[in-house]
Amino acid sequence: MTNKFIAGLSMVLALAIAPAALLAHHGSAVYDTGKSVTVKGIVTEFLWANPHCLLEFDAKNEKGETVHWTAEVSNPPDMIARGWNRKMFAAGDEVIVVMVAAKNGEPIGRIAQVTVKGKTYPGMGAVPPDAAKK
Amino acid sequence: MHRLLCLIFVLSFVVAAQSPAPKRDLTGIWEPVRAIDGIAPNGARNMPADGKPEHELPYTPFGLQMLKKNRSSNGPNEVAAADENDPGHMCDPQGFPRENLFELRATQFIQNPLQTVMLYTYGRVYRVIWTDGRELKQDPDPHWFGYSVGKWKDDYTFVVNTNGTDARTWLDNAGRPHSEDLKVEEVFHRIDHDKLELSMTIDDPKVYTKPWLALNKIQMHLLPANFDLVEMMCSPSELAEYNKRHASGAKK
Repeated sequence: MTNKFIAGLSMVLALAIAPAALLAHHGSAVYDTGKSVTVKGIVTEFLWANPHCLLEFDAKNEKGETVHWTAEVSNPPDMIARGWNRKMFAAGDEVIVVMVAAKNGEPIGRIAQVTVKGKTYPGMGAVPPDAAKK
Repeated sequence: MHRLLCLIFVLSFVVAAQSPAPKRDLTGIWEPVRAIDGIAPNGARNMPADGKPEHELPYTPFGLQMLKKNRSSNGPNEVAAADENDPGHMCDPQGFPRENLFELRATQFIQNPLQTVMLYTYGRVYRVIWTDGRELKQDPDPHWFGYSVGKWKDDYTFVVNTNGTDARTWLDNAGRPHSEDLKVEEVFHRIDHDKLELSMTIDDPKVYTKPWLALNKIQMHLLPANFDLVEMMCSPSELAEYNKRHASGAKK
């Protein structure tokens, strides 16, 4: 208990003073980082893996069609420090995902914030300013 | 209960900070105070690849040729993850000195009279630094993590010199190159019981016209002795899955 508490606190302290947007293996070249996309969907799979964890979910678009999204965050150690764990999503969970999306229009994103089971977690990188307006 | 643990945690640091550092001893688990100093996604922390003129490295013509072959997914010329040719991101050993210049996280130092051993979080790799008085080899075979010898300059300053590195590795996450002639000097300076500074100089005349400072006194702090190093591995199968599901679809 004590060990986990001290270890966790140390990691949180270290990450708390790091520029969140820079905690990345890969850069932002593929994303439109100037605006956010907020999508409500149903989880199909969650991969807890390196180099980046992936959340896959289905959501309806404006036409009512089902779109399959794949969205990334950082690696497991970074995400543990942000309160994530490998069992936090299960297939069938409803999620609200705030992310930056791929420039090419594909349903691919990088999660800035996610809400599941009534709790909101920080993702990877800053929440784009326009997300607060939605 | 948590309040009591918090108080014990804070008090233990206060007591430790007030006690003198042991002489000629780096034993313990050290971590960059600012995580970004160790993760350094845009390259060597003191000379990041951010396009600023003051961070341009002094390449030789040969060095520039090498640089142009490296397609990094970070820095001013970044490419999509699916288009990069970063050997480290393909799960080759990232090697030395990149192990200090990218994803430097909690690192354990173990010492005996002959060696100092560094256990790194990223990749779960280790380096042996010989401290038995030997000199660097004159014509070493290349190794992913090179060949290192260390000497105490004074009671609190440990200087490590490395050669014999493998030119297939990149210097940092921005794709800066090096040759087999690379020589690296690390200076670990213990400020007090729980503070350590790390500086690192790159000297590779084939690739750079003059030595340059890659790390400039980055601050590290001592973690509790019972800190669990977190596993952080590059797994080829996980990487293939990431590329298939995500990176390939997000290409520019």
